[in-house]
Amino acid sequence: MPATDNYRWNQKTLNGVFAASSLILLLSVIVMMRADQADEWKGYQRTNFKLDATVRKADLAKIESPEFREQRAEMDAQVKAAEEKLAQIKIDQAPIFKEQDTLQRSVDALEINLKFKNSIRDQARAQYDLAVRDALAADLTQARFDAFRSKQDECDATKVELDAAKELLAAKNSEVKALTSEYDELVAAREKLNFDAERVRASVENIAPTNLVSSWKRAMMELPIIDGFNSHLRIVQDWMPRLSQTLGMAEIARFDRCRSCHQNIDKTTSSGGAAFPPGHPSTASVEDWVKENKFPQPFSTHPNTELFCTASSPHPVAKFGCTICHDGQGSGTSFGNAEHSPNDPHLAHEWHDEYGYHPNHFWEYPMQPSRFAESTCIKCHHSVTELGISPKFGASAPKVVKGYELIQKYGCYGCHEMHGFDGGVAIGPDMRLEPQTPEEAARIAADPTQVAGKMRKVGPSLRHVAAKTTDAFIQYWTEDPSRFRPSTKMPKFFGLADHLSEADAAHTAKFEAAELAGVAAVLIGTSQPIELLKPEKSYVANAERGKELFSQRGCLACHQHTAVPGNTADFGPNISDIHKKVLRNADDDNFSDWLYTWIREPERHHKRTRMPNLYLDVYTDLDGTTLIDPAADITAFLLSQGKSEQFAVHAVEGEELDNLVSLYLEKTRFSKSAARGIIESGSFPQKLADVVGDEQALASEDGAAITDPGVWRQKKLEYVGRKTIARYGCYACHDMPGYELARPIGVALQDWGRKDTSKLGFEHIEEFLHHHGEPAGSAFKSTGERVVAANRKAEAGGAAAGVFTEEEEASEMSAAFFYDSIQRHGRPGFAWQKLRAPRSYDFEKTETKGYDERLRMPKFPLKEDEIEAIATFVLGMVADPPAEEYVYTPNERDKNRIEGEFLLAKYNCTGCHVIDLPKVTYATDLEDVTATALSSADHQNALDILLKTRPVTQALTGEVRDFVIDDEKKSLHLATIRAMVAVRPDLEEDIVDQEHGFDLWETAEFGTGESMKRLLPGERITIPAQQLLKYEHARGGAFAEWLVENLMETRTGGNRSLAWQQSPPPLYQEGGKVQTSWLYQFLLEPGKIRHTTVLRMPRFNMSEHEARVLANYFAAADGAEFPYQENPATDLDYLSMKQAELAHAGMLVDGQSYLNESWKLLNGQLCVKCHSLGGKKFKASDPAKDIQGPNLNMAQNRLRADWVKLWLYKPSWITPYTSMPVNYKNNTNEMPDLFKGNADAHVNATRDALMNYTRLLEEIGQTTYTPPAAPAAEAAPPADAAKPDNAAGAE
Amino acid sequence: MLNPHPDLTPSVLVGLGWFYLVIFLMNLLWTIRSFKVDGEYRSGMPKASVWAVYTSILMMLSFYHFTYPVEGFMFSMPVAFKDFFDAYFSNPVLYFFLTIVGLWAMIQFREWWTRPTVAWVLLNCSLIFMTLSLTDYDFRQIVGKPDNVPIVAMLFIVAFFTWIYFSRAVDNDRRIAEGRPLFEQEDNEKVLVWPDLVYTELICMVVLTAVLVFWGIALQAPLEEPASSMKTPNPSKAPWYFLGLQEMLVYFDPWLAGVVLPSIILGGLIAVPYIDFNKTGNGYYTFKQRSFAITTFLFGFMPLWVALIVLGTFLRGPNWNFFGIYEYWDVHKVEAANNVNLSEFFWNGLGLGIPKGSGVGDILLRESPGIILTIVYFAALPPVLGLTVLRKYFVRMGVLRFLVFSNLILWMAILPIKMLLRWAFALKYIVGIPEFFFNI
Repeated sequence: MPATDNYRWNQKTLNGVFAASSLILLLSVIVMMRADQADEWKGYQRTNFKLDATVRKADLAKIESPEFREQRAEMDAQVKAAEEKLAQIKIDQAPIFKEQDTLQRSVDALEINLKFKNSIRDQARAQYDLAVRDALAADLTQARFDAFRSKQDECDATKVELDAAKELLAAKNSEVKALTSEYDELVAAREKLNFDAERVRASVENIAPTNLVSSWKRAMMELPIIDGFNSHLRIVQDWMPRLSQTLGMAEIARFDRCRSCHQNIDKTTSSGGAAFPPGHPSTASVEDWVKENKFPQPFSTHPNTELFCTASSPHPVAKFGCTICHDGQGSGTSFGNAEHSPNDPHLAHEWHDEYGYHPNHFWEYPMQPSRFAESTCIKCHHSVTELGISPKFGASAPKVVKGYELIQKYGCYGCHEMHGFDGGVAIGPDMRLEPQTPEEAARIAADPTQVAGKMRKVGPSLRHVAAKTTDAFIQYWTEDPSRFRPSTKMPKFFGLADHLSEADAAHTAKFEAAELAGVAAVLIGTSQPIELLKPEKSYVANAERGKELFSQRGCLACHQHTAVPGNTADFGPNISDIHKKVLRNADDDNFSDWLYTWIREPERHHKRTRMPNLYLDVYTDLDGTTLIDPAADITAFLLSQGKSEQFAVHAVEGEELDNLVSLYLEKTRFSKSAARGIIESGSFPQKLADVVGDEQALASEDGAAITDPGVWRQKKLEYVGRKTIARYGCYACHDMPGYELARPIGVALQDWGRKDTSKLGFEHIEEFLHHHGEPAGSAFKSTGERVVAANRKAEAGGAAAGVFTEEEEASEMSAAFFYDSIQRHGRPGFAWQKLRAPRSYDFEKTETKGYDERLRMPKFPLKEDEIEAIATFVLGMVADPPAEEYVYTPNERDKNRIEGEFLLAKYNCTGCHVIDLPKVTYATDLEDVTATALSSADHQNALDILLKTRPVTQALTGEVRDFVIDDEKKSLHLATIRAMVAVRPDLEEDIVDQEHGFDLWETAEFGTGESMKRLLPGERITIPAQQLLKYEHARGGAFAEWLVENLMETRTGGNRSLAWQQSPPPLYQEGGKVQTSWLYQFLLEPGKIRHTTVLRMPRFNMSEHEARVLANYFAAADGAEFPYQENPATDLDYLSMKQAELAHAGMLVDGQSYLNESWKLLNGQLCVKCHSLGGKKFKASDPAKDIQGPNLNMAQNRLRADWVKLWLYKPSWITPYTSMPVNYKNNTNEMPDLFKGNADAHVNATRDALMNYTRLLEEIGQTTYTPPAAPAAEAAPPADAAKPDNAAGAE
Repeated sequence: MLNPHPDLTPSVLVGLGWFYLVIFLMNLLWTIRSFKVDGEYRSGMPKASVWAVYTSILMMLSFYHFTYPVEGFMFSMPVAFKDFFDAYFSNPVLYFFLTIVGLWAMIQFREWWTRPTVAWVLLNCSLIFMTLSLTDYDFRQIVGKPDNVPIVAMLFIVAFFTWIYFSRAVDNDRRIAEGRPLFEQEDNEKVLVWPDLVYTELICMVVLTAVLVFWGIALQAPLEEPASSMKTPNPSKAPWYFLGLQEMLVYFDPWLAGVVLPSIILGGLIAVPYIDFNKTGNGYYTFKQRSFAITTFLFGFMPLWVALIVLGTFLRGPNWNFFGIYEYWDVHKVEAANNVNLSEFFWNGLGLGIPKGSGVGDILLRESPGIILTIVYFAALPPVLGLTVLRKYFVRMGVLRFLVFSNLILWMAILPIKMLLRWAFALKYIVGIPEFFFNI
C-alpha cells in the first residue's frame, strides 16, 4: 500500500535506511582495514623496534659512563670559554673578519660570473661545431669561430680575475684561521669524543624518535595505505631462485618471509656470538629481556650461529633462507600460515590458546617439529657421516646420524631399498646392498646411469650353515633370537601375537612351528659343503692358553665374552654362548673344525664377512720348541665353556603342515582339490625339470609319486620353508645359496619422507593403541592411557613443576607426539608404531585376510629413542635434492675424510686404535704451570719441526672457576689438553690427596703473548682429583686401553709404557707419519711391523678402493699431503746440496761422500742395538728385557721424511710411551769422526740414510762401523722407568 | 587434544550459544507478532503463550551453551539418532526417493505448509536440527567448510522463495475459486522508478557490498593444497553449481553428462516459451492454472538440480562414496561397484553368450538390444505418448512442437531412469561401445 499518494516508500524512512546502510558500509571498510593492519608480523616488528631501541639505549648508557660525562662537561666548558674568547677576538680584530667577508663575496660573485660566461662560450663552440658539420659557407663558419674566440677570451679574463681574488681570500683565511684555531680544535675534539655516543643516539632517534615531528612522521608511516610507501614496518623476504620448491605441479622459486617476524635471527655481536640468545625470560617486558639477556621467539637469534644464518656460517640465511631446512610455508606471514609445528601435543595445546594454532593438512610440508629438525639435513648431506663428525663443527646433527647408524647396524636396507640415485644423479643418502653376484656387479659397472650399492648384508652367511650348527638350533634361534643371545641384532619374526586373539595366536603358533621347521630344512638342505681346516693331528689344544690368546689377539675388539669380563665391544656378537650352538667334530666332542676354520680364516666360510683374518698362524713359543696353534687354542677355550646344548623345537602337526602347503599351492595355480590331491598322493603333477619356483621342492625328478611318508614330509617342509624365506626375506641379511638374485621385499624408502599419507595402511591401529600397545609389565594398560597420563602431567607443569623427570618428560611427550601423529594419520606416527610393534597394524585384520597376506615386518630390539632417531632419518628421505650448488660437495680432502670415517665405522678400526686422544679438562693455577724447558740435550731444530708439523693448541678455555683448596678459596683457570692416562689415583687415599697423572700428547700453550707457557708433548701433568673436571674418553681404542690394563697385570709388571708398546698403537697424527702409498698396501696386505706387540694388524676384507680411501683419510684428517708425497731426502739435488754444505762446514773432508758417511752412521752401534738393519739381524742379549724395534728397511717406504727427523731428534714428543731413546743428544760429541761428531748432522744423516736405504744397501752393501773408541750408547730404558714418580703401585 | 575429532569444544559451544541467541531473538519477535495476530485458545490463554515458553527455553539454551563447560555437556545430537540416520539415510536411492516424495508432498500439502505458523514451525525445526547437528564433528566439517556455507544458505533461500511462490499461488488459486480478484490486481504494486525502485536498489547494493566485505573478513578463502596432477584431492569436487552435472557423471558417459545433457538443458530452457501454449498465469502467481508446467519445472529444479547439488556437497565423500552427514569421511571406505552393460544382461540372460569380434557388425550386433531400446525410446515413445497420455497436449501443440516437447521430457526423464536402473540392476550402460567412445 503506497505510503503517500506519490511514493510507495516513505522518503524519510528510506533516507534513514540509506544513511544507516552507508554507515554499515563505512564500518565494513574500517573493519577491513583494521583486519589488514592487525597482521601479526607488524606487532612483532613494533615490539622488535622497542627491543632494538632498548638495547641501543643500554649501549648508550654504557658509553656515557659517569667518567665520560664528566669529560664531556669539561670539554663543553672549554668550548664555551673558547667561544667567548673568540667573540672578543672578533670584536677586537673586526677589520680582518670584515675584509675576509668582503673578499669571500667578491670570489662568490666572480665564480657565478665565470659560470655564466663559460656556458655562453660553450654555446658558441657548439654553434661553430654545427657549422663545421653542416659544411656552411666559409665566411659563416669563420664568423662563428670568431664569436667563440671572443667568448673564450672573456672567460679567460674572468678566470684571471677570479684566481687573483681567491689568492687574496686564501691569505686572509689563514690570517683568520690563526685567530680561530683554538676554538676550531676544541670543537673538533669534542665531536670526536662524542662520536660513538652520537652515532648510537642517532640510531636510537631513528627508531624511537623523541622529536615530535619525527615521531609524528613515524606514526604516519604506519597508517593504512601510507604504509605502502616505504614504511619501516615491512615484509622481509629472502628470495632463492635456485633453491626452488615444488608446489603441486609447479616448480617455483623459494620466497621465505620468516624474517618478517624473526628479525634478529642472524644478528651477532661483534665477537661473533648470538646478539639475542634464545631463552625464556621471566617477564614480557623488553627491558627485562635485555637485562636477563634471554630473548623469546620470534625475537631471538638462531641458537647455532656458528652453523646457520650468519654470513660467515656455511648456511647464510640470504643464500639458504629458512624453509629449505625447516620446511613450512615460507611465504606465510602469520604464525598459522607459516605452518609452525609443535613438538608435542601439549605444546600444540598451548599454541592453540596463544596463536590459534591448528594443523593444516593442506600444506604438505609443514615445519619440522624440533624433534625432527635434523631430518632435513640429509636433503643436501647425502653421505650423512659429516653430520656426525666434523673437525670444525663437531657433531652437528647427532640424531639423524644416530638413525643412519642404526639403519646400518640393523641392515634395514636389506628389505627396504634406499636408492640414493635417480639415473646416476644423487638424490639422497644411498643405502643399498652391494651387487650379490659378479655378473650383477659387472652389469652395473658397465651402465653409466647406475651406481652400485655398497652395503654388505648384516647377518652371517648361511651358505655353509650345515657345517656350523644344527637343524634344532636354527629353529630355536630363528623363533626368538634374543632368547639365545639377548644382545643380538636379529629381529623377531615369530611369536608376535600381541595383536592376535587367543585362538588366532594358537593357530598361528602351529603354522609358525611348521614354518620354522621348514626354514631349517631348507637351510640345512641347501647348505653347500665347505672344506674345513684342521689343526695338526698331533696338536693338543690348550684352553688355558686359548683364553690368554683370545684376550690378547684382538678378538675382544669386536666381541664380548663373559669369561673375559670388563669389555664392552659390540661390533660383533657377544659369543659367550657360542659353545652351545656350534657343531662339534663327530670324533671329538671338545673340538669344532668349523669354529677353528672360522677363527683362522673367516673368508673361507663367508667371502664378504667383516671378520678379519687375524693371522693366527702356527708359531713356536719363546724357547723355540713348543708349537702353538692359536686358533686351535682359542677354539678349545671357547668350547671349554660348556657342552653343546640340545635345543627344544616345536613339534610340527602334520595337518597344519598340509594346510600350509595347501594354502601356498592354492595361491600358485592349483584349485583346492588339486592341492589336496597333491598333498595326499605325494605326487606333484610335473617333473622337477619343468617346474619353476618354490614348487620345485615338491616335485620329483621323474614325476613319480613319493611314497615314503618321511621323505614326502621333508619335501613339504622344504616347500613351506622356501615360501617362508621368500615371505620374510631372510636373504636380506644372510647370504643364502639360491637367493643371490632375490629382490628386497620391503617398501623402498628413498622418498618415504614425502609418501602420500593416504597410502599408509593405518588400519585399526588407533583401536589397538586404545586398548593395547604397551609391553607387559608397563604401568599402563594401553598406549592411549599412557599418553593421556603424559598429557595430564604436561598440563600440570611437566618437568618444570617436578611432575616429570627430564628423561620421563622427553620419552613420554615423545610418545604423546607420535600417538597424536597416528591419530592424524601422519608419517611420523606410522613409522614409530611400525618399529615398536610392526604387526600391530594387523590388529583385527588377520581375520579377513589370508595367512600369507599378513604383515611380515619383524620386531627389532629397538628402544623408543632409537626409533625416534630412525624416524628422523627416514622422514628426511625425500628424494628432493636442491640445485647442485646447494648439495654438499666436499673438496678432495673432506671427501676422503668423510668416506674414511664411514670405513672406520664399517671395519671397526676404532675398536683397536685410538683415533683421537682423550680430552682432559681440569682446573689449574697458572702460576703452577711450568713451561717445558728445552734441556741442553734437545735440539732447537727439533722444536721448530715440532711446531711446524704438529698442531699447537691453546689449552685455556677462557673459563675461570672458584675452588676451595686447602681451605683456601682460589680462582683457577680451566684448561683442556689431549693426554693419555699415565697414573691412576689411589682410590684408597683421601680424596684430597688423590692425584691423576696424564702424559701430554700435543703441544699445549697456556695463555697468549708474553705470559704464554708452552708445554711440549711427553710432559707428565699431575692433576689433583678434585681439580679434574672432565675426562672425555679417547675416540676409539677401547680394546687397546683394556688390553693395556690386562698386559700390565699379566706381562709388564705394571709398566704402562711397555704395555702400550705391546698393544695396538694410537693413530694420533698418523697422516703426518706414514706415506699414503705404503698405508694403502699395508691395509690390503698388512705385514708385521712391530715385534713388541702381542697381536698383529689383521687383514680386512677390504676393496682396493676402500684401502685407498682409508689411506688418504689419515692424511686428509691431519692436514698432510696426499695421495702422493715427495720424499725430499732421496732427491739428488738435495743430496748434492747437502754434500756441498757439509763439505763447506768442514764436516766432510777428503772427498768423503755424504751418503757413505751416513750409511756408516746408520750401521753404527746405536741403531742395530734394537733394529734389524743392513743385513744384520737383531740379536737380543736378554730376550726377556730387550726390545726389538721395527725393521728399518721399511722406513723409506713407510715413513715421511720430516716425521723421521723429528722422531730421531725426540721420540717421546711423538709417542710418549716409546722405548726409543734420544740417540743424538745436542750436548754430546759422539763419533767425532763422522760429521765432526755434530749431533744435528747425525740426525739428518741418519734420516737420509734411512730414506736411501735400498740404494745404499745395493751400492755399498753390508757395513759394520765401529767408531774409534766410541762408548757404547745405552738404549734408554723405557720412558716410564725414566720417570721415578710414575709409581707402578698406583695402578 | 588426544581426540583430533572432538564433537564438542569450547569454541563450538560459544558459537552455538550465539546461534541460539539469534533464534531466540527471532522467536521473540514472532511471539510479539503472535500475541497481536493469533488470538486465544478457547481456555482464554493467548496462543502466543506457547511461543513465549518456547522462546524462553531458547534463551536458557543459549545461556547454557555460553556458560557450561565441555565436559558433561548434555544438549547434543543423540548418538542413537546419528547412527540411525547414517545407517538408513546414507544411500542415494533413499535420498532420491525422499526428494521425490518431498516434492509430491510439497505440492499436495501446499495449502497447509504455506500457512505462516506452519512455515515458521518448519523453519524452527530446521534451525534446531541444524544446531543439534552442529554438535557433531563430522557434520561441522562439511557444513562449516567456508566453501559450503553459501550452499547451506542456498537451502534456506530456495525454501524461502518456494514458500513465497506457493503461499501467493495458494492465495490466488483460492481467490480464483471464490471469484475474488487476484492479489496482484487488488494490491496494485505499480511504483515509480525513481525513487521507489532505484533508491531501494541503491540501498540493496550498499548493504550487499557491506555483507560481502564482512563475510570476506570472517570466513577466510578456503585454500586447499597446491594443485597437482600427481595428487588430486579426494574427493575432487566441481564448483557447487556444477555438482548436479558431476553427479550425472556417475551414471553417464562423460560426453553425455558433460556435453549433451547440459546443451539440452540450455536448449530446452530456450525452447520453453515456444512450446508453452498455456496463456493463463501470466503476471500473477498461480498453481492450478499451470500445474503441469510448474510440476515439471519443480521436478527438474528440485530433485534433479538442487537436490543433486546438496547430495554432491554433503553426501559424497572420498572416492565419491556415499557418506551419512554424521559419518567420518574415511578414505578407506569401499563400496562394491561392479556394473554390467545391458548387452551382457541380454546375451547372458538368453544363454547365448556375448557376441565376440571387433568388427563394426559384431559390435552393433552385440549392442543391438540397447540400440533398439534407445531408438524406441526416442522415436517410438513420442507418438505413443501423443496418442495416449499426452493426447491433449499433442492436439494443442501440433506435431513439431509436440515432438520437441516430448523429446525434451524424455531427455529429462533419462536421468532418473538411468539412476533407477543403476540402483536396481547395477546397469552400467544401455549401449556400451568403448571401442568408439560411445556409451549411453
